[in-house]
Amino acid sequence: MEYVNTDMLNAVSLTFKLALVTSVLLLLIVMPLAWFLANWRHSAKSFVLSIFALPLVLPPTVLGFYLLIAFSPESALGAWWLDLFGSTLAFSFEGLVLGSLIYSLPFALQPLYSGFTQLNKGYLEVATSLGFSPLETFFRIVLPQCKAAVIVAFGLSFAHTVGEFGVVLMIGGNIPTETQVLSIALYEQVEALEYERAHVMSLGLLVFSFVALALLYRFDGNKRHSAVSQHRVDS
Amino acid sequence: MNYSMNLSLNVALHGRIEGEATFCETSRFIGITGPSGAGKSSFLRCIAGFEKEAKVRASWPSQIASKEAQLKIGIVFQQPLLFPHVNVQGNLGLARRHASKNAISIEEALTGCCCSHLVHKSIDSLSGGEAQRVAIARALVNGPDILLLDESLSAIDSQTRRKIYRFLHKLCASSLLTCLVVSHDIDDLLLFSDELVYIHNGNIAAVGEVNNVIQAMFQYGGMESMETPSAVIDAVVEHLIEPEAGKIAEPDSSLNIANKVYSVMALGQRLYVSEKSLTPVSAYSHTSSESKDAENKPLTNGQPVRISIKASDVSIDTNVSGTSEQTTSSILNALTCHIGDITFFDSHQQGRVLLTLGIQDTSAQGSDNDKNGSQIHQEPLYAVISALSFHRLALERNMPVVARFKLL
Repeated sequence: MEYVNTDMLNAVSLTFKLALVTSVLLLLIVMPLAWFLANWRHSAKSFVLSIFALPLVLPPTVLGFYLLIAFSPESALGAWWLDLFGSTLAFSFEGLVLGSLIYSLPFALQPLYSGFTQLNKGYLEVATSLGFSPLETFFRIVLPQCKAAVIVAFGLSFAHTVGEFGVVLMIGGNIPTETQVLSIALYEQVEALEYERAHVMSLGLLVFSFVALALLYRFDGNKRHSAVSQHRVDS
Repeated sequence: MNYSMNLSLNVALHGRIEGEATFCETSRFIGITGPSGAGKSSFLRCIAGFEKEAKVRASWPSQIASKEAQLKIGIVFQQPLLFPHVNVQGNLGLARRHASKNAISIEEALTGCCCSHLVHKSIDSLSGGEAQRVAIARALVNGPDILLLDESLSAIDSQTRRKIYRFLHKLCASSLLTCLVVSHDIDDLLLFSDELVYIHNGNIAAVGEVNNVIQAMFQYGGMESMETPSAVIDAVVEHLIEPEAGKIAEPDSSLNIANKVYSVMALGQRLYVSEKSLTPVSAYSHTSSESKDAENKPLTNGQPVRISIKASDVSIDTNVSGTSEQTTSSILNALTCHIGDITFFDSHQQGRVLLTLGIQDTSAQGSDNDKNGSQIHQEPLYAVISALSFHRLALERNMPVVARFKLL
């Protein structure tokens, strides 16, 4: 028997497509959110931060269950989506993207948030005194200094979305080329006692995860080093 | 036309700084000093507009206020805060993006702040003092109307620091700039400031001409928190002195030593001062079109200068019979004075005595004889001596003494 079949290749391409779409969208959403939260001073801040961190600790099935409810045509979101696109969110790629966005949000938010909070606010005052607008300050001063945080946020949300299982199982089901991602395909192979294929997929995912993390740590480590030497100049 | 041209600042930030300061029309270089935590930085931050809760009312001199809409206030902190993602040139380039029309060129700023050689360096590789110099250059390249310096030169060696202050002073003189400078180094401020602000306990305690503010600082005990008070004396350059044999140098001599020594006349008495310890007093009218080598050219005869003398550098001699030209001592400078106020220090400076000396103005002798006491010049000199010497010499008020000091 073949170790790799078309279903598997479809699952791989679907998984990476989902991860790519999710992480790009997440960066766009989370960047302004993290910047706002980093500069926000309010007694409700810890409350809001813990809401955004919930997907870190919540069982994915709990998240998936609530999403499934929200996606049903009886709910406001599901009805609105049905009106707009003529299809339901549940068991669709769009639904998976929405679920992944929520599921991976803390992984994009945390690095950016801590990157922004660690940035010396004096830089912003200097930029203001030099005549920079807030938007210009963000793109010319803040983002270049937080490049590492942006890359780590992207990498972590990508890798985390690739490893998604529980949420997909609840809201996506197991439709090849539409919602059957790698982890689900693997589960199916094991159920069918196709251990060789399961081995191939497991090993593939293991190697991918390891390489992704190694790259991120290496990159972050390099940046840390330069952050440390900058501190020496400042003091 | 001369209507309300003074710079006036009224600042209130609850619990941190409060007060009002109005400056002379001609003041372009304003020194701000005071004990740590007194609110000096808050004062500057209020003016810069960084404190949202602060109430600030400011009226700027007319030549600045006419373009109030885009009044540019630059600020340089003690922390240089150079943008680390670009190099020195990149930092200056970013500052150039929104530069005002009268901003000086990058080359001029780099030369003036002694950092031309750093232009291609990365920010990581700069030392603390180098980074501070670049930070000032960056602020100047942006072309501010007001430049606030919050201990921005603290890590720079004194020789270079004086050079940069002189450069800023020149920019101020050409009306390009008004500087408000916070520093703990009272000597630097005394040499360059047109007016001085003393901030004490969150209040603007004294504003005005430097010697008046120094006197006011006594009342607040501000001197005790400082190492030593300094006096400021106005003088006129006589000539440059060759390092060897005390020969008088040609005025256009291309003598290229770092510290030239000048003979100057102050209150009818001759003093010997190194170039580092004096600053030329220029009328605030001429433009700064002077060539770059002006820095190395000796001062011309008759140039008015300002000297500051640290109290700890002054020693007291009760033998007033000798002339000041006596050369048995290595200390060349001797001013005949009368002892004025005598202050015994307490707390951590116990065992020391501060004398306020009235300098005898020999140049005024004869012309002003009808007024009694007119020989004692207004501007004081300070001396810190040990209580032991004070008692051994049996010093007392109104006693004539010779104050000896060096101005290296």
